[in-house]
Amino acid sequence: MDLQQYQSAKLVLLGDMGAGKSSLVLRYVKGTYFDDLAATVGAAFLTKVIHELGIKFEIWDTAGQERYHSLAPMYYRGAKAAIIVYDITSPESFARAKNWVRELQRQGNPDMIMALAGNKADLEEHRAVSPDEAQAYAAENGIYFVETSAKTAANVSELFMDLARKIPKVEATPKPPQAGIALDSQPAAAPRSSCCG
Amino acid sequence: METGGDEHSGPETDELGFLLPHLTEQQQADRQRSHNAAGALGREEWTRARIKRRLPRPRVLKKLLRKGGVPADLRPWVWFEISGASSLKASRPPAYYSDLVAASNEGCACARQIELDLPRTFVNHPWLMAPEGQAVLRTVLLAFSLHDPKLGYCQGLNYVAALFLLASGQDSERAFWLLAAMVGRVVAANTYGSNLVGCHSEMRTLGVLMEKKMPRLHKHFQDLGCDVSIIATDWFLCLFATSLPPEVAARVWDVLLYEGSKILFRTSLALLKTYEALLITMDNSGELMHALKHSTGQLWAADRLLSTAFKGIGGLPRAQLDRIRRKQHAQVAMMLREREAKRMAADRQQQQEQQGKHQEEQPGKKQRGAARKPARLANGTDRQG
Repeated sequence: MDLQQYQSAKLVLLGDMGAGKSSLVLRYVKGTYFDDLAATVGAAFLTKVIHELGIKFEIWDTAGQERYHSLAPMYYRGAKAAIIVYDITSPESFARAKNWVRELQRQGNPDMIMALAGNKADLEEHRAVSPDEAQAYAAENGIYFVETSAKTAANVSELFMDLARKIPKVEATPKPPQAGIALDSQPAAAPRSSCCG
Repeated sequence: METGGDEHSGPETDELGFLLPHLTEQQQADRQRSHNAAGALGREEWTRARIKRRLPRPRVLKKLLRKGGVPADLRPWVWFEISGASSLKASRPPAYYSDLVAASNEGCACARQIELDLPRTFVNHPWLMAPEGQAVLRTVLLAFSLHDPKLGYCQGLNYVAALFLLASGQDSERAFWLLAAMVGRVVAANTYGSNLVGCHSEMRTLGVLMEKKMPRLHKHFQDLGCDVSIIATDWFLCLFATSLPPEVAARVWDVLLYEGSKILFRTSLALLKTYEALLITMDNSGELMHALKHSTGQLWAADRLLSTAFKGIGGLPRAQLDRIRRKQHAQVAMMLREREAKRMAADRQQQQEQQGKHQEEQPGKKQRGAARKPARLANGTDRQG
C-alpha cells in the first residue's frame, strides 16, 4: 500500500508525571527502554506506521504535572485514541488517571477509543494499585485496560495494536484525509439528556 | 566488557560541561564564530569591569550583552548583577538561603515531584547525572519551593535551575538567587503558577506578534490547525534551555537577564523566521513541531540568532507589547475560568447521578444513565418508556 493511503490516527498519552508515558511511547516506537529519558516539557511527537492495518499513528506524548493540565485540550482535540497511563506503585497516579478519563468523557471526541494502562508492572513488590480495582474501574467506564511495563516491554505493543484495531476504518478515498485535524461534523454529544432505565 | 577507558581523550564537552554531540563542519564553524565574537567584542570593557568589579555603563553594557555576550568566566558575577539577583539577596536577611535549606530538610510538599525530575534533567551532562550534581540541584529546587510556596515546583524550573548552577560554578546559593530573580523579576508573572496562566498569555501574545510579523507563516499554522503553543511551551517554560544547545541558550540569557521577558519574544520570532522556509513545507502540526525542535537543537550560530532577534524582526515597542499581553491575559483568564466552571458543573452532575443510583430501589425514581451510554438505536425504534 502507498504510504499516502494510510489512515492517520491521532493518539494522545495522558497521565501523572513520572508514570512512564514517554517510556511507553519510546518502547513502542523505537523498541527500546531508555533509563535516562529527559523530563517532557510541553509535548513530544512521534509517529508509527502499522503496515498490516494501514494505520499511521501520530502520537502526542504530553507533560504530566498537574498544572500542565491546562495545555492538554490542545493535544487531545481531534484525537482518535487516548492512552491514560498510571504507575501501579502510585495510588495518586491512579486517582489522576480517573480524572483524565472523566475529562475525556466530558470534553474529548465522543468516539475516542480509550485505554487505561497500569505501567511499571515489573515493580510488583512495590505495587499499590490492584489490577482488580483498575479492571473494575475500566469495565465500569467501558474502556480497555492492561498492565504494561515499558522496561520489560510486557503488553506494550499489544496495547497499541489493540487500540489500532479498534479505530474505525475510513473508506479508502483517492485523497487521504488531512493529517492531524479531525473535522467533527457530528453535533457534540454532550451528556445532557438522560436516558430511561 | 570493561567500561571506563581512556580518560585523557574522553568525550568533548562544552564550556558548561555538556557532552558535545557530533558537529558537522558547518556547525563547528558556526560555534567557533559565535565564540570568537564573544571573545573579541568588548574585551577591553570586560577586563576593566573585572578589575574594578563594576559593570560597564548601561548603554555600553546593553550593547556588549547583545553583540558578544558575557565571557563564560565572568558569568557568575555578571548574571548575578544584571538579573537583580544581587539586590534581591541584599533585600533579605543574610541567612535567608541557609534557613530555607535547613527548613527544606524537614520536608517539602513538592519533594516527590522534584525527586522524579532530578535524574532526568539534562541527561547529557555527566555531573548532573551523578549523585553529587543531583544533590545540589535538589537543594536549589527545594529551597526555591519554600521561597515561593505558592508556586512550589513547576516542571521546567529543573532545567532553568540546572543551567544557572552550571553557569555559576555549581554554587547552589548563587543558582538559587538567580532562579528567584528569573522567576520573580525577569519572566512574566505567573508563568509557572497554577494552570501556567502566565505562560498561556505569553504564548498567545507570541501568536499575535507572529501574525503581525510573519503573516504567511501564521496563516500556515492556522491552515494546519497548529496552535502556536504547541511549539512554544518549552520556549516559555525552559527559556530555551532545552530547545537550543545549552551554551547558545546561555548566550540568550545574557540578554534576557538584563533586558527582560521581551527577549523571549524576540528570540522566538527569530527562531520562527530562521526556519520559516522549512516550516512552511510541513503539512501537519506534529511534523512541524518535530522539525522545529530538531532544527533549533542544532542551532550553534548564536551570533546569527541574536542578530536576527535584534535586526531581523523589526520593532517591538513596549507599549504595544503590553497592550497585546493585557488583552491576551484577559482572554486566557476567561478561558480558564470557563473551563473550571464546566468541570465543576460536570462533577456536580456526576455526584447527583451517583446519588440517583443509590436511590434506585425507590419506586418511580428515574435512574440516570451510566457514564458511558450505549449508542442510540437507529430509526428511533427504542421508544418504550
